[in-house]
Parts: sequence; structure tokens; C-alpha cells
Amino acid sequence: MIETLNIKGTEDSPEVVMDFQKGFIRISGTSWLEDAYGFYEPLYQWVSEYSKTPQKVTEIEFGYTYFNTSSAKQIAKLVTLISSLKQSSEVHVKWFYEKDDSEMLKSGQKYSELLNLGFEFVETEFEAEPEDEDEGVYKIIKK
Amino acid sequence: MSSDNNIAKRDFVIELMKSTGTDDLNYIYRGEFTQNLQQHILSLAEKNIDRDRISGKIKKRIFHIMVESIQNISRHGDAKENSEEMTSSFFSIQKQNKWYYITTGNIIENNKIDDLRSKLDKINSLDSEELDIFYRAVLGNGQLSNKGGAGLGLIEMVRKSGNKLSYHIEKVNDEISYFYLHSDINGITLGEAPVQPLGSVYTVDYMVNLHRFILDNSILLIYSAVFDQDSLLSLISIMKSRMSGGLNSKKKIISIMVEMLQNIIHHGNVTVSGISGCQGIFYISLNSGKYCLTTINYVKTTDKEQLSYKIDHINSLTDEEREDYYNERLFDFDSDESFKEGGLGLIEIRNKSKNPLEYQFFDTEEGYSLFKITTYINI
Repeated sequence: MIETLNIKGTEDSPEVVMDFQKGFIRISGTSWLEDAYGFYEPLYQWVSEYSKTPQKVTEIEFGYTYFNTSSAKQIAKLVTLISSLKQSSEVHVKWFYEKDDSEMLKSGQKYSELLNLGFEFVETEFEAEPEDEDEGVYKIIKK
Repeated sequence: MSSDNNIAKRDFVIELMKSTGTDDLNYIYRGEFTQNLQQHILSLAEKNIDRDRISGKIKKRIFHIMVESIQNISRHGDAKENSEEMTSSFFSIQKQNKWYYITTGNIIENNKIDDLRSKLDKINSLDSEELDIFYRAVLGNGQLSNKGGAGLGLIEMVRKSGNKLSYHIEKVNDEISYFYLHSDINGITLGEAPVQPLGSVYTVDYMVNLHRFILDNSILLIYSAVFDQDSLLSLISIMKSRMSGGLNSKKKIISIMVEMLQNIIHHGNVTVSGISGCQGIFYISLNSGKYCLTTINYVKTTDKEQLSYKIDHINSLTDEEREDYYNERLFDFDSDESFKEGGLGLIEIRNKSKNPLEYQFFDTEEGYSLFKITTYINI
């Protein structure tokens, strides 16, 4: 069995949850990583491993507030892996974006279109964690 | 003030870059000083100084003086809330050869000048023993002005720096003047070979000129130092609090800043005069609704041609062509170098700013050139 990945978010790196049991993946927050490849590489490995024996349904959520271009490339790779996961699991992808953040919506649409993934787009409020206000650590507020 | 010392006449920032060594710092912030901003402004300076090879005791003194200085701006600044004058205040710190120079500038009412002058002249006339006695006397008689403080902050600054305060008062109009306050701190511990500050450019006169320069050019912030991810995050925090406007334009500017600063971090690591580091300058100005962001860093002279070609190419593309070019590269996982390094930064900056990229090279010695790139963003 693949272990659950649980990475806490920081000022410049996203929060990651990858749960095999639930067939659930969520990446959210800010991704301004200097070494984006180093951060995302273990995530590819997890997804590749998961793809071998996936759950019937896989729920995937992206909720970025910001990402830099080095991360954009790594997200492209991740989304590509997710698109091949479709062969063995029913994949639902939700792309959360902050209210009025049209740029982030556009980025999601680009990934969705280029890989024919049919993202569901969800406009939402993002809440800064109280002690980290202004520090860019955000959480998606779930309805 | 002599006009031959006029910074604005030269390409000030290029001069600055050429004249500063890798360990140097030139950091100036102009604008509002809310509680939140004060914290971010100080944090950037602290992160920079924290790395310096000077004693912890001296670091503490420097931090202490920084805090006193920045509080002086909000405590004694007489600019009316939300007035244009309010954003003319500045905080700055420079360092060179292990000497630290902290300067602030703010508005004061002309009728307070005499009192301030006599306070400063009195403090500057005392030796350290007399200063201690004076400090206790002021502390004891509790003559606190309505804004808190009877010059205690000023006395503290002299006690912590061990040097007299320099100041300059420049009349703005019949009601107000600019008040410049400047401290020198020696970062060299006893026993080390002393380096005299003599000949340092960072005097109060220099700062008056620099202030004029940033006002004339609507500059909000200049940061000339070694760049890393930490300083990037501090700079972002400052600008996040400093900017007004809608979410989209704020996010656009922040994203462009991240790309520009990470370009310095990724490509600006050079060895000049035997010292390695990502030395660079970032500055940002705001003029009639238009933000202008500039970075300067060293590149190998041999890389000049390729970089010029790349930017010219990006500038020559239509929006649609650029979009295709970006997407093509976004999904190019084949070349390992391209995959790990991205190489999308300049295209993204051009896309987000919606204005052509402006750039220039300046040759220096040792096979390196200075690369200056400017982005304009209309909001």
C-alpha cells in the first residue's frame, strides 16, 4: 500500500495531501519554489505508483493562490500524469480559484483544455491563516 | 547642497551596482509606515544583516537603531494622513566595509524645527558619560511630548551607535520641511583591523540627494544586495502591504516580481572580484497609474547574445504566437535542462505586463556584463 503524503504549506510552497485509501489528491496554496522540480518530483512518483492500482474514483483538487513559472512546468507534468490515470480510474478534477482571480482561472482552463481533462472550476473564498496573515499561506474555504 | 553631486544626472543605479561589492547593501523604502509595513521593512533589513560576519552584540545594536529610526518617522512625522507628503517619508540602510548607515526622512512642521535642532545639538555635544546622565535625567523628569518621547529615542540612537547623529533640515514650504536623520554604526569588533568610514559615500548629503532622486523618479523601493529566496519573500510582503488596487492587478505585479527576482537568483550567481553571489538590484516605481519594475544583475558577457536574441524574439511575437510559444515550452519535458529550469519566466513577464520588455547591457570587467531589464504594468 502506498503511504499517504501530507506536506504542510509554507510561504512559498503548497500544501499537499495525497491519500491512497480515499483516492484523494489536493494541492493548494502558493508555489513560488526556487527548486520546483525538487518539490514536485516525489509527487510524480506517488501518482505513478498510485496509477498502478488506483481506486475506482479519484478526486483531485487544485487550489493555488499563486505559482511561478518553474512550478507551472511541474504542474503541467503532474496534470499530464493525471490525464493518463484516466485509463484506470474515474478522475474528477476541481480547480479552485480565488474570487475575481481571472488569471488563475485562465491557467486552469489552459491545463484542462490542453490535456482534454474537463476540470470543474470553483470560484471560492481563500482564507489566510490568522497568524500568517499577509504571508501568503491560504486555505480553501470549503462550503 | 552642491548640484554637481546630483545623482539623477547619471544612471544612478548602474553606478550603484558597479561601485558596490558583494557584501554591500543599499536599501531604501519610501511610502507609508503602517505597523504592518514597519515589520516587513525591518524584516528585510534584518535578514540581510543577520548573515553578516559581525558580532551578535553589534547586530542587536543595529536592529535597535533601525527600530528607533522607523518609529521616529511615525512618531514625529507631521504629514497629514493620506496626504501626498505622507508617502515622501523614507527609511534606508546602507552598508559598506562593515559600516552601517541608517537614515530616515520625514516631514516636520517648521515651528518645531528650533526645538528639534537644540535637542539634537545638545545630544551631539555630550560625551558618553554625560549622555548617560542626561538620559536618566530626561527619563526621570517625565517631560513626555504628546507623541511620546522627549528625545529619548534620539539619545538611545547615539548610545547604541557610539557616534553622533547627523541631520539635515530642508525647507519644503512655509509650513513644513524635510527632516533627515542619519546614524553611522561601526560593525567592526575591537581587536579587528579597523576600517575607517572616511571617504564613504553614505553621508547625510548623499541621502538628501538619493531622496530627491527617488521622489523625482517616483521610486517606492530600491534594494541592492545579494538576492535569495528569503529576501524575495520579504520584498513581496512589503509590496503586498504597500500596494493598493484590485486583486488582479496586485497579483499581476506580485507574480511579475517573483519571476524577475527569481531570474536573478537562478541566473545571476557570478563570481566578481573573487566573491560569489547573486548580486543584484531591484527597484520599483509608480507613476500616474503605471508600475515600473527593474532588475539589474551580472551575466556572463558570452551569454549576452543569446539573452538578447531571446528577449527580441519574445517582443516580436503577437499575443497569439506568444501563447503558443509558452504552451509549447510548458509541456516540453524532453530536455532535462528545460524541464528543471523552466525558461518560461521572460515569456510570462511579457504576457502579464502586456508591454514590451526593455533591456540593456553594460559591459564591466572580468568577462561579465550588467543586464538591466524593465517591465511596465498599467493598472
